Amino acid sequence: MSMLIIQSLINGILMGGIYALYSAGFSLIFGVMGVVNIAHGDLLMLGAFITFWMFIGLGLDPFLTLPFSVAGLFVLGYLMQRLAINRVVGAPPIMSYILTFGMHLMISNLALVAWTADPRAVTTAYSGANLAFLGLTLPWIKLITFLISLGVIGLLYWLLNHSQTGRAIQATAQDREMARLTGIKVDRIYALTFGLGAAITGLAGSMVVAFQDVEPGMGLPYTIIAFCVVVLGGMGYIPGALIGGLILGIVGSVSTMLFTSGWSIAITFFLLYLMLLFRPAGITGKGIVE
Amino acid sequence: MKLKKASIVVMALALALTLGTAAPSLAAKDFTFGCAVPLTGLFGKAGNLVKDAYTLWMETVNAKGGIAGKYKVRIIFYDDRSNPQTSAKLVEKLITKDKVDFLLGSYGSSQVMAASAAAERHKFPYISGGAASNKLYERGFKYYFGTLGKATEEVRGNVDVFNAMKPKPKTVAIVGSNIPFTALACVGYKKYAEKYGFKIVHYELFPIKLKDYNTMLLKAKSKNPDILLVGSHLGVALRVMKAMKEIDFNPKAVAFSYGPTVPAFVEALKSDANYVFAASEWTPALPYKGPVFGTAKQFHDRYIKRFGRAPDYVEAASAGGCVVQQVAIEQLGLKPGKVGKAERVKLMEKLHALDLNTFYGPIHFDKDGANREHPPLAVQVQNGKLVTVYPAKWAEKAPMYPMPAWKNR
Amino acid sequence: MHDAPLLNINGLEAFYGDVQVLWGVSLEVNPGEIVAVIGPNGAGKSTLLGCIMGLVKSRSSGSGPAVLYQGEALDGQKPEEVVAGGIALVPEGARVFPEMTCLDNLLLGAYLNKDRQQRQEVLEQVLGMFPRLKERVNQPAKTMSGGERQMLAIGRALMSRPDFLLLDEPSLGLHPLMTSTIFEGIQSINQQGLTVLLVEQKVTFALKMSDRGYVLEQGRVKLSASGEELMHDSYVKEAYLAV
Repeated sequence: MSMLIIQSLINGILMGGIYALYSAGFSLIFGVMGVVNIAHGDLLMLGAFITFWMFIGLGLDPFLTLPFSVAGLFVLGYLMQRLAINRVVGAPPIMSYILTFGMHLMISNLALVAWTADPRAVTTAYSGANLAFLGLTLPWIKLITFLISLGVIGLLYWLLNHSQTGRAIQATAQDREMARLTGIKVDRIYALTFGLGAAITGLAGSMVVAFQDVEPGMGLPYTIIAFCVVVLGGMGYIPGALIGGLILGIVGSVSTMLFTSGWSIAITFFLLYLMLLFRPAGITGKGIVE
Repeated sequence: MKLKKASIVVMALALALTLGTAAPSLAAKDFTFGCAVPLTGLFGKAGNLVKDAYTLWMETVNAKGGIAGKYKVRIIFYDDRSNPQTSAKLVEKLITKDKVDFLLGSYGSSQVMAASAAAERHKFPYISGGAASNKLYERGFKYYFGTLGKATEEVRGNVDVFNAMKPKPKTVAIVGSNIPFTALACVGYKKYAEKYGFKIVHYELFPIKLKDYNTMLLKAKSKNPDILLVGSHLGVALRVMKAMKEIDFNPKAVAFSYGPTVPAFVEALKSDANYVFAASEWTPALPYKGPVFGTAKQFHDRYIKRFGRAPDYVEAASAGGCVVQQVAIEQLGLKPGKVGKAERVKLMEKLHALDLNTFYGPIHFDKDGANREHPPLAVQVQNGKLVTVYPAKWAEKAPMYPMPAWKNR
Repeated sequence: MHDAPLLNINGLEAFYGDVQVLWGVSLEVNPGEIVAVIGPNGAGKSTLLGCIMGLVKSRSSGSGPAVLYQGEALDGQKPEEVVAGGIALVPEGARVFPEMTCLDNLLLGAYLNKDRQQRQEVLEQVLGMFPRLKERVNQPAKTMSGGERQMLAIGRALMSRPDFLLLDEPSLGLHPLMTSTIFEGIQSINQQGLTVLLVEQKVTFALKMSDRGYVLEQGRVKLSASGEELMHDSYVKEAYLAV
């Protein structure tokens, strides 16, 4: 029994990594622009399809397609912000909900028309292969995905704190007008931030393809998970996404093991409810709360 | 909010384009059939298969001069966009505005549930080959008929095949997503597993939203079942297969209620799809034979010639529904332009009375509208191809059993 | 007299929505000067600075541009463009970036300078000027005292190596000792050649160190003279220096 708990803990941690990665993008966009991006999961879906089609069309290994989905989603995110989201930055939150919800409908419906509702999956030579020891199994794909997720979150954190662009992003988030007074073009920073958030989300989507099926409607549940993750870890605080992601992964997995999978989702939402009620700034207390 | 307005215009345009397809016909020498079916949205892909099946029936009949050899068939198709309410509204429209003579059934239990209620109100017989929920038959309807088996019965082949195995496996684990279609499959599994004396060591319905299947299946794995029975649609089936390999779960066999018969299953999983069982209602290997299409094999070949792909059992069941309605119309001697309420009441009674052999198998509707005769079938993926493995008398190949452990494949 | 003024404001009018805040304000600042703008709350002092920086929309009551800097019109320029032109603002309340360290705040001041080496050199100079900041470099700005934040805001402004520094009430909320330190700092910066426009409510302090001063009331220039003269002006004495 205890081995099963340990295994479910491992499963949860590995899933938590991917949750953390794209939730960091969600958190970044919220933290800097105050925009709750309901189309976030759809960006993940697009990243996933870029990888899927490159695998099918060009026979490219899913992990080799990562640069393409990162670049593609960066450009898309940048343009989305420039052409649409920028109009609602600083507006009441309801405006950004409406706009990004519209984007969610548009992206997921266009994807449905283009690619149909069929679930699709890729199988590579190493699909499902795992590292087995002491009766435990660690699927290689998820392990690598986890490590890449950690690395990218670390990189993002480093970039935000140790590069001039990162400082400019933080400055824009903290005091938009003052940022302009140091010479920062805040519109560019917003677009860059959205591009960056979209890029790491696309990256997460590409990695999801390696172990899960993809379909145009997959986005919204991922948006909901991202929302839970950042509420747990603190809205707008990047390391919080990692903490929130791991908690969500672990709670989901361990409660599936101890109770039922139905309960795992109920427990997750109960946890979310408690957090919103008692600790809206997240477990770390470092989130920005409106 | 300029963008929002623009996006609404784009969407409205898209909808208008998909709607503005078929126009009603007024030719008096023809029979007009109406069909509201999902052509876009969640069930769009499957709905299009149903449309193909109906189209093939229409072309086949018309090539022979039409119904009774002289009345050509025309079908008005409307896209219900996978929305049950829309499906019901479109059926109303077909009846009251387009004044069709007869209806053809839709795909998906929710669509069919709503659309058949509209048909019942207007006393139009409604035969579906693409819906299986038991609830469809529990409404006391007289005008609703289904050629597919009930969801709980559809999966029987998956249990029968293991009951016939020697030595017979002892334990089964049953898991399935908690949406009606797949949950009913699990109810069916349980019913037959108990009937045959299998020990059910694990039973769990999981939310369709569940993201990580590894832990859910780990629980089944820890009970060490001989057989894993899964209530699934294609997406669930893919996720279960991926998770089984990741957690190194090696039961002697795994069987799905739905998924493996869809070509995308083997395309996505490649050689990992081998050894997988699935329940089926129809395969071209069966010795069935009847009017219009001839044998099961002939239907299959005609399908490949027309659409470049093999039909699955939903398409066969849909075309089977057309055949039985056609035969009923012919036996009653109905004529175009003279089909009123009284004729449709007779048609309903005729459909209940008929006992017909077709390429799809025997069709004989029970009082509740369900098709009575349904020998359970099981297919298996062997070397990337679907082959019938149960019952033995119709099997193309012997089942490959037990399935080798993942690391030995 | 000096040559051409560094900053020349001519008939400046500014609005917040429909409400007019400045009415034909004219003012000039010559290279190397410290010029003070004094006046009561709501006189439009901060608005004046906002107009120069491009934060507030402005227009001229006459023909020609309202704000000329080094002979070039600033009207309609964005703040980031004005900053690139060599003007830096130390805003009211310092407005340091609270979640960032002292060091990151300073480095952001040099955002437009893409040369890492140069940034490092300027940083050394600024830290040399404010030893307190040097002790606090890795501390988050929000944990620093009011005076330290004010120093940080000045330091951040200096990091862009401006020719012209605007200060909006740098002494606000500071205790007198800290106020002196800040003003001494400003004076020493000025002595190194930087032109300063100072908006201040601590009138004595401000006028004492300024070459010239303007009294702004209800959006209009009421008086202008040298710092010394204003100190002894009867109106100023009564309105601002009355004990």
